[in-house]
Amino acid sequence: MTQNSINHFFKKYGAPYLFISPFYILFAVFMVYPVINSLYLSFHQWNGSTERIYVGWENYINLIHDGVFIQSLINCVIIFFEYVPIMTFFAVVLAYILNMGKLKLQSFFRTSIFIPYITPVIAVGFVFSLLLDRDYGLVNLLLGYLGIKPVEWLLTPTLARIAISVLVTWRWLGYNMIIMLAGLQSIPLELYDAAKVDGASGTQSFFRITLPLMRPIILFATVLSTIGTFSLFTEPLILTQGGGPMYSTLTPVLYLYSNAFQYLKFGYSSSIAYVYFIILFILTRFEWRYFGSQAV
Amino acid sequence: MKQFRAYLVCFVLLVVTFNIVLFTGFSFAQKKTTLTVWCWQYQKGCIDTVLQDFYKANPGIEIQFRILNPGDLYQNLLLALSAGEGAPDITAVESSHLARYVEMEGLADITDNAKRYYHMFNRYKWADATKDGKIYAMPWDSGPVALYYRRDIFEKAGYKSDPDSIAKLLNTWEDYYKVAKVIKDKTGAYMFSHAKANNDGRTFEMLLWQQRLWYFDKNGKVTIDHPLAVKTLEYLGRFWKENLTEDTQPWTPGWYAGIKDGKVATIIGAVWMGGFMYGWIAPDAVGKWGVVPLPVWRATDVRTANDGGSNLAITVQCKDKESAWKFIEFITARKESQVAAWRKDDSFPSFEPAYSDPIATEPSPYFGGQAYRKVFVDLVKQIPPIAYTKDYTEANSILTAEIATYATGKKTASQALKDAATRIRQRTKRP
Repeated sequence: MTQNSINHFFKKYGAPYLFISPFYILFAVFMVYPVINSLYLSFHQWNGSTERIYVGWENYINLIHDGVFIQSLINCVIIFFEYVPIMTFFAVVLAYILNMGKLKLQSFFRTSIFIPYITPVIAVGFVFSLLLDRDYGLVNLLLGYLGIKPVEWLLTPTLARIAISVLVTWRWLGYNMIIMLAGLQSIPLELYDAAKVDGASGTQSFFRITLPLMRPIILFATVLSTIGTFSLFTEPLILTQGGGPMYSTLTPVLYLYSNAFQYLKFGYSSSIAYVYFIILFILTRFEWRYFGSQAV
Repeated sequence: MKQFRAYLVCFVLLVVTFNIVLFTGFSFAQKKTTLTVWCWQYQKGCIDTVLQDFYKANPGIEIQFRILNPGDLYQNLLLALSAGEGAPDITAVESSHLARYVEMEGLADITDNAKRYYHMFNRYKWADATKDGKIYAMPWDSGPVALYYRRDIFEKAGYKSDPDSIAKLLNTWEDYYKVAKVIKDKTGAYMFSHAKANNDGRTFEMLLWQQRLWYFDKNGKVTIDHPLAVKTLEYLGRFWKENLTEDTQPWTPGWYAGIKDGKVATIIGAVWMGGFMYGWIAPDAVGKWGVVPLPVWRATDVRTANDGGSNLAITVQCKDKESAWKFIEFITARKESQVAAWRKDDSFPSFEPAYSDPIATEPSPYFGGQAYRKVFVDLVKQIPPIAYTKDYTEANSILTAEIATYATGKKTASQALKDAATRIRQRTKRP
């Protein structure tokens, strides 16, 4: 590179690079640096203040044997199957109904289904924990009128997970519905007309045309839900005070947080972050292959 | 115009320079230090009782407060110490969390100033405030534990309800268990409240502490699976199995209602519990409560333990440690300050000279005319010196999960504590 060609480079491309640099500088400082620092920390032991002690692979080895971490992964798998299939299906159905254009108050329904998503999570979690209180919650009160004994909502592992699943469904149904709506808009209407001509009913059109063509969108929503389920943090923190009865609603992110900010084990936390990343990467790759490969 | 503009510029420059000189000169002349203090609302109330006296005695110091709940305070303090800036000059820390911050080297060494007060504070409070012979915090208030009881429930069950009779009646934990059954039969009330699934482990910790047991022993070895600990847990198990305890979680609506509506006959609680009860949990129950020392298992146990209690410390980021010391000395090591806090919010002083104040023997109408503070004054000096240690938070969360598995019938007591001990050993690398 001669001096001349460098000058030429800057003259031609200097200004554009300068204009996009603010984003990249912020990105490097707030995204790239923490990710690399986290990797570095995962091989050390650090309490947040004194020196970092090098420990090699010890954090990772301990993590693989850590029953609580494995439990947190199992919890997320259980919660995932408890709500994702139902929620995704209803999101598609609701989107389909609201897209048909025949329903009055369409925008009212769209808004009201979307509002749970924009409500602050902490408020939602807090209200749910009051509603599900065994002795003073509204839910058990109403169930009592039907003759059902007080249900120990947040006090047994199974019910605590179901409570989390219900909360997450309530919250994310609207968001997923909006995604599905966007997907529905991309299906050409002629296909439906052609189907009607051939004598197909509404349900048949739904299952034979809509669902197959929505496959990429459903895949996208499922991947988001997977990542979202394993990242659940505020909901278990508020609803079950950080992990529920006997670690039953603990998630990897919540465990990561506890290790860093309550037990002052930043190195171990960082190793949790990386293992969690690898697990999610493998899971989403698997989902991509399973859902995405069948071309329409 | 040009001339006018020139004059205007000169005038503005003159005013600005004058102000700069004025303020720098002012601050040089005053030498006023501003100290930032982080504490929670309850403590601010205690400080306010003597704040004006402090300002009078120390005109060059100005205090800025930031009120946080303990959870937020610990979070923010951790981040500020980690970042190297943003920490307050002075912070309040509960004894249960103190060792962590000492370990993090976030608190200033105040040995030279504090050591002259060493023998004037409850001895056991120094365990968490010291490391390698150096002092890092001043004890503020203590949490001696005793047994609160509802006079009317005991009367209904056919017992005499004055403190001396009750102390004789509930001499040992076996007596306590027998009386629990009688009370349940005759009045339907639970003996005390202890959640099964979502417990916080504090009752169990208190019962261990009075037997001089803890998560760890003096050498740092994990002892939560000690045979006596197993027996203690099995004792609690009897109450769960026979439905003698109310299954509510502390600080929830059900728990408050249990206390207010007289559904529980006793509370195994610290001195601050009394203040909370007459202050806001059950202010209408005047005359219905009394206090006695804890029952014991054997003669070598003490009739009390500790639950809670806080300290004041100077952080390493404080630039004027001398002034900061003056403040914490004024609040903690001064009889008038501690007594004022005691009067206002029942903050039980760790500073022993305060116990000679008449408030200690004042009869309390809420407790049926009993001088209930005297009970705690007598008990506090017997508390065995056990340190929470820096691993308390993690050990407690491991223990509570295992207690829950025992309480819900999924494991035996010995298996639950053995698993807790194994995991605590793994996580804290203690033998």
